Amino acid sequence: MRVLGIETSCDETAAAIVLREADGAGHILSNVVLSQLAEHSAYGGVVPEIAARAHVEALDTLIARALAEAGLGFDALDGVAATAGPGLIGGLLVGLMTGKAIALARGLPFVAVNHLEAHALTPRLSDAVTFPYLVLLVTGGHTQLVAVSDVGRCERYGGTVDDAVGEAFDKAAKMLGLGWPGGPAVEKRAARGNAAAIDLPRPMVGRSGADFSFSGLKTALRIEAERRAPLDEATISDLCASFQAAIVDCLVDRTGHGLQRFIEETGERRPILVVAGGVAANSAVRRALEGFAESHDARLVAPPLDLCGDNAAMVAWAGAERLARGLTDSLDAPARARWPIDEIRTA
Amino acid sequence: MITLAVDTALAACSAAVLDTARGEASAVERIKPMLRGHAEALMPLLQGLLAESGRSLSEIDRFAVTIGPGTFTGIRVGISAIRGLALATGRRAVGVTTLAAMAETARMAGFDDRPVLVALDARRGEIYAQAFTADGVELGPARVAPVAAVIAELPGSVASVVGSAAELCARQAQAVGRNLACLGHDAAPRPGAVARLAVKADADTRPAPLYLRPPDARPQDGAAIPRQ
Repeated sequence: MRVLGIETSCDETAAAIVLREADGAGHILSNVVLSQLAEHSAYGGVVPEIAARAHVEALDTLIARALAEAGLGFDALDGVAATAGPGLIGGLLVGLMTGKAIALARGLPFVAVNHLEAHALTPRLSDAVTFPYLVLLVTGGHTQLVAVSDVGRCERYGGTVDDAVGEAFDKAAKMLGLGWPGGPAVEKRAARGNAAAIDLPRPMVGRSGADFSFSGLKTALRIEAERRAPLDEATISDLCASFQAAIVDCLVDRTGHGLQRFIEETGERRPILVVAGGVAANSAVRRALEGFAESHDARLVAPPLDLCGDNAAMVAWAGAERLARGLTDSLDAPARARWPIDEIRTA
Repeated sequence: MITLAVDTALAACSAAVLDTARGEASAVERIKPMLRGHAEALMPLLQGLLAESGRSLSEIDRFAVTIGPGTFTGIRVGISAIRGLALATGRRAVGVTTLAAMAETARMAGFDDRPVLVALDARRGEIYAQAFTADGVELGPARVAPVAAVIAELPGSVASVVGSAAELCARQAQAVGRNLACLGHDAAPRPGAVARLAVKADADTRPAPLYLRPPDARPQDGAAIPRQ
C-alpha cells in the first residue's frame, strides 16, 4: 500500500509517500522537507506562531511536490497519515486538517499518527528491523528509552525528568554564544576541544531505572563558564567538548540500564538497540553507542540522517504500519500537544 | 456553479453548499456555534452537509473559506482544510474575509441599504474593522485598531454597525456625538454569505491568511556569557 504522510509538529514542514509491501518491506517513494531554520534563528528557538504560519503557507505545495517526485496522483494512494501529536498545537492542526481533507475528498482511510511512535517505527522502514527492540529516542523535545514490541505497543522504560537532550544542547550553545540550533554548533566546537579539560557532573549515572536529567549539567556548565569569563575560543571549545562528553556518558549509562531490563523482559540474546531522533545525528553520540552495543553483544541500528530529524516518511510509514493492522482514525481526531508514547490506541 | 464554503475563523464552525443554478438564496447551511473544537467538528459537519445537500465533493466546482481576521488557529484550520480539499479534487479555492462575509450576512438579512461598519472583537482593547457600501464595496482597508480610532476615522456615510463589537462601537459613537445603529451582534458570518461572495471572487489567488497582527515573538535575550 502507498501512504501519504504529513508532518507539521515543530519547525519542519514535510510530506512524503511511502510504499509498504504485503511482506512488510518499506520503500520511500518521495520525502520532501522544508526547514524553517531561517524563520526561527533570529529568536534563538522555535516560535510556535511563526512555525504555524510557515506550515500553512507551504504545506499544500509540498504535498503536490511529494506526489510529483513519486510520480503518483492521489488515486494511487491507499491512505493518508498526519502527525496528530505530540507537538506545537498550531502547527499540528495545519497538517491534521490538510490530511483529513485529502482523506475525505479521496475517500481514503485516515491515520492520526503519534510523532514519537513514528520515530520509534522508523528502523523497520530503513533497516527492516523486527520486533522487539529498544529505542533510545533523542530529540529537541524528547529523551526516552522505549521498548517496542509491536505497532501500538511501546513501553516507556524511562525519560528525562527535566530538559530533553536536544534542549540541553540548545541551551549550552546559547550561553556560549554559538547560536541556534545548538546541537550541530556544540558538536563542531567540541571536535576542537579537550573533553577532559573541565570536570562536569553526569546526572543520574549509576542510579537504577532508565530516567535522564540534564538540567544540573546545564547549570554546572554555566558555573564553569562564568568562572572562566570572558571566554576565549579555546575555552569555549573545551567547554563544548566536556559538555558533550558528559551528555554521551549519561546517554550510554541510562541506555545500559534500559537494555538490561529489555533483556530480562524479552530474553533476547542479541538485542536490537535503535537510536532515533535529531540528536542521533551527533557523531559522538553514535560512536559511543556503537562501542556500547559492541561490548554488550547488541546490534545498533541508526537510521540514516535524513530519517533521524523530523520528516514525513516516518509518518507515512507509521500510517502504513497501522493501516496494515486495520488501525484507522475518524475524521474528528483531535490534535494533541501532549501524547505519551505508551498512551497510543492499539485497537 | 456549485460552491462549498467553510468558516472556522470566529465563534462558529459552519459550512454551506450553494448551487447557483438553483438561485443565490438556495444555500444549504450547517452552523455550529463554538469557541474551540473547530478542528474536530469540521469534517463530520461537512459530511453531514454533503449528505443533506445530496452532493459529493467531486461535484464541487469551487471551494471557499474565510481567511480572517479572526482567531489565528481558526483561520488556519479552515484554510488548511479548504486547501487540502482543493488539492485533492483539482478544483479552485478562494478566500473571503470574515469582515466582507459579515457585511454580506447583514445584507442577506435585509438589514439596511446604507453603508455598514463591520466590527469584530479582537481583544486587547482592539477591534477588527472595515466599512462597506450597501453593495459590498470596501470603504478602506481591513484593520485592527482601538474602537475609538475606528469611530474617529469612520466615513460620515456609515450609519450602522454589525458584529461582535457592534454595541461597543455604537456606545463609542454616542460618546462622541454620533449616531451608529447597532443592527446585530452576530459573532460569525453565515456560511451561505461566504459562498455567495466566493462565486463573485477572483479564483486565481489561493486563500491565504489575513491575520492583521504580527506573531507574538521577541528575540530571546542573550543569556550568553561574555567572550573575549
